[in-house]
Amino acid sequence: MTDPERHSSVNRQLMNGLLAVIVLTLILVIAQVIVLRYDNQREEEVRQEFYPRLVLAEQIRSATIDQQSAVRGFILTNDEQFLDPFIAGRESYVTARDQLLAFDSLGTEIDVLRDRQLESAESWYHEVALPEIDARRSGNLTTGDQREILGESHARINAFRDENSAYQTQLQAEIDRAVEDVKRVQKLLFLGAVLGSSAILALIGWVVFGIMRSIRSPLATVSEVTHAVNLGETDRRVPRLPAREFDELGQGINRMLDSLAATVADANLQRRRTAAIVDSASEGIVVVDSDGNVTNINPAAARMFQTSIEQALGRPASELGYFTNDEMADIIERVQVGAIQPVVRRRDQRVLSAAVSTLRGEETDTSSGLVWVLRDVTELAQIDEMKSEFISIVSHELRTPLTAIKGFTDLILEGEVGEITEQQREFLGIVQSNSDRLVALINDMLDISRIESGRISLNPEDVEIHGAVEQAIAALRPLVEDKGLQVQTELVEEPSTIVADRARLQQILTNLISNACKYTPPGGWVTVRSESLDGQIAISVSDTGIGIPPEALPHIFSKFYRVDQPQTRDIGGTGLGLAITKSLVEMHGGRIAIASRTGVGTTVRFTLPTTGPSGSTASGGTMDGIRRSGLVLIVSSNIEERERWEIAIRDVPADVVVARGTSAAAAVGEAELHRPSVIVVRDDTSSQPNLDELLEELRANADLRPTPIVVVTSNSTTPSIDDGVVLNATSSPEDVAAAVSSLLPESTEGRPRRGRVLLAEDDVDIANWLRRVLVRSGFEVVLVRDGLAAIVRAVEILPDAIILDVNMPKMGAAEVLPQLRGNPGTREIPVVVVSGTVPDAGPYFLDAGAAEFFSKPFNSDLFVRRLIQISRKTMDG
Amino acid sequence: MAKVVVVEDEPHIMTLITTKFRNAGHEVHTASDGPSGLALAIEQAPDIILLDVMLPGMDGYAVCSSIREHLVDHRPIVVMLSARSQVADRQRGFEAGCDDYIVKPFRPADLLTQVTELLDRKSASD
Repeated sequence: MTDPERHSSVNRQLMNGLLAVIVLTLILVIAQVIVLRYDNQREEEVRQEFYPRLVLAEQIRSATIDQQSAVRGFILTNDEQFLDPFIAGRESYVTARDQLLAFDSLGTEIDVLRDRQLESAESWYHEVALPEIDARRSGNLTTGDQREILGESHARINAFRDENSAYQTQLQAEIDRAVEDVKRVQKLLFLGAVLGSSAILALIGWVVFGIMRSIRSPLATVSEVTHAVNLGETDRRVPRLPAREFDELGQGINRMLDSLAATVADANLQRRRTAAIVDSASEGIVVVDSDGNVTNINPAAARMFQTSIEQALGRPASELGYFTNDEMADIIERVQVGAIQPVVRRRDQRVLSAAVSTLRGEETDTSSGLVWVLRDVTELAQIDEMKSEFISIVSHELRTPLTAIKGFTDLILEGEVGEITEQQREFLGIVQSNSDRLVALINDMLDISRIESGRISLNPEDVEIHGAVEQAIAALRPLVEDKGLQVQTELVEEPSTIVADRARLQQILTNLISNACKYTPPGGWVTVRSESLDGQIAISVSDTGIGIPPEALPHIFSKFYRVDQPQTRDIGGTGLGLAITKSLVEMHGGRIAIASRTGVGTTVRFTLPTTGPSGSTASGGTMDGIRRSGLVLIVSSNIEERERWEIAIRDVPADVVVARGTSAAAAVGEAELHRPSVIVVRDDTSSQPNLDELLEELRANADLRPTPIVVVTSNSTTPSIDDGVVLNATSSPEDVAAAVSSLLPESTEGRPRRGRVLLAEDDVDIANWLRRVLVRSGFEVVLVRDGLAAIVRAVEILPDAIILDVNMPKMGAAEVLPQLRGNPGTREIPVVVVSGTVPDAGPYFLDAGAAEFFSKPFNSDLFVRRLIQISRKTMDG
Repeated sequence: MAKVVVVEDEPHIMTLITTKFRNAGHEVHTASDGPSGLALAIEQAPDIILLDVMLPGMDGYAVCSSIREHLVDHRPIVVMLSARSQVADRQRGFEAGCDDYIVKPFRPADLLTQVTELLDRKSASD
């Protein structure tokens, strides 16, 4: 892949270009310098070569002229003294001539000119000057001769001068030509320099362009490829690029695109798989956003709703025709609280079951939505229907032969067909009672089958409670009288009537009372009590029977469950009675609970809404309905004391239940059954139950753990209770009632308005006082007695505000506060510190993070107002 | 002493009822299917008709409706006997015009008591 030739680096290209420019420039400069230097030399040379000749030519001319002048003077005067300049001239001439001839030839033409003037000068000297001088000396010259001679000499000298002049001119021309040559070379060099510079500029341009191109072109390629990939040509890749850096960039982008493509392919695969699962699921899946619009629907769901995916998407889910808008809103609300039961509905001949859950952690635009999972349960429903039908048919078919069996047995027993013996009567009685059992079984089976198939409907009407109870008891009179049982009723005056299905209420009561009678040994008691609750009535049936073993209690409402005990073997029963009873109670919107101790007795308690079964059967359940707001359970073995307390507590006002059992377990059983708001316990060494045992059992039960307790103790050691009040044994019943009152929630309606306050205070009086003040102001108060418990409970319940006493057992506020501040869960919860002993400690605790400091005694109104302010911040936040 | 027509396809149940009613001194006529039961009722114009619901040919509801149509002047007491115990079934019976609806299994003595009570009430109102 790496081809160093091809992948020359941009850097190197740049360097090469720069190098070329520098080299060229250097060459040019050097050439210029050389040329300049050569130029000057050449001119000098020309001058040195030509000027001496010019000087010598001039010297020859002047020497010859001097000679001629001297000869003329001598001729005219014949004075010998004229001959001296002649001789000097000759010498000068000869010197010049010899020097001139010693120079190198300048070419034939100029040499001819040189030689010609020299010849003229020579010939004049030899042929004219010397003969004339001789002739003059001889003196035979006439004036005419003289004139003639002079004329001729003059003419010849003139010719010489012309020739000399021509030679000089020629020399001068030669110089000019040489200089001209030099000039021309200079011009050429200048031109060369210009051209060279241009070449360098061009080269620079080319290099720059090349670099630009080598940068821009790969960038353009890369950009083009990424653009193309963006537009969907995901398999486009950057080609190999000449420049290494860009090639690396390109290959890097390619690798990125590869891994991106792989990731996308992987995600697509996953998406397709998920989509395939969702699409091929036989369950219908519909995703609905918080506005109630369909954001997703799979083919199965579309089929179920006989619509198309395209048609359903983005449309309100109510258009699917399964849930109305109101129902959707209701479901959204309920789903937030917890899962709701699947809703089964018939739609276009099909039966659909929709399980709805919230959509979490999804990439939906909205924060929450719903997922419906729909199952076509038509077949199941049909099978269920067939099952019910089958049971129904079988039951009916069984009735006819049973009618005959029972009928003829009756006829015989009634003596219609003659007298019978005592033994025959006894045996026919057995046939009779077993037939009755079969009939009861058939009836129960029919009931269960109808309840399960939802084909039972209630006919609510006003039912008078007293009458219903009396009627149920009357129906059981034979059994009661047989066993010598005492049946008593403790029924409240109001409400005297409730709205219920008369026959079904009768069935409930008969079932429970007959159970109580069946499982109670002869001579025992059966008590039917009623209590008025908020909008409900509670009816309990208690017996002093054999009781139910603890391990059997969880199954007691299951179908066909019967406790296998020696005592119960011979008691007839179908094992369906309690299951039916429970279903009937729940259909009415009520609840049923059972408490029992073997050998002691059993209590079954059920509640029914006084206004009837309408509406309130929502599966969300109402814990508030069970958890009484004003019910107090008294656990004490001292009957007199117990009664005094009961009277005082009823004045609070509050309802009172007295635990009949004396063991801790029995007390817990009662508490489980009644779910009291407060439990009052007598604690002394001799008494039952043992307090520690009781507290332990209460703590072990998640439902009962939060119940506040009033302990009345004669022991010196203060028992450690999580929430509640400890009173001295000398406390009056009114004190007990006051303690109970402080622990009872103020409002019987729903949750407190102000939020929950954790109150950590070990002083009983102050704790009670503060609790009452806070409860009256609408706070829910959780009381703890020491600092350690304060921390534990704060983390557990995350209250809206915490009140800490400075001095507490185990840990004081000074220790608790930093721990609360250090825990992320409790850090933001405002803390109010109250002190009775150290009024100056305010700044210290405020520094440590307390929201407020109160020094006892303080104004309760001010305290509450401040607490409301403080806690509101957290509640709002 | 009254005239009773029993329409019942189960022979044993028929025997049970006739025995009890004859022993009590009533005049009993029987039919074992719907159409003949209807014919017998019209023919005899009895005081009481004990009518099973599940009958061959024509069910008890239909027989009851027809009796009410045909025996307008002499209105007999019609008691339906059925293994079907649901409220809807009872309702259907009363809509068809029966005076009482007794679910099987029943005690013959109870049936007799009930019928006697109805007779007494009827004679009191007459």
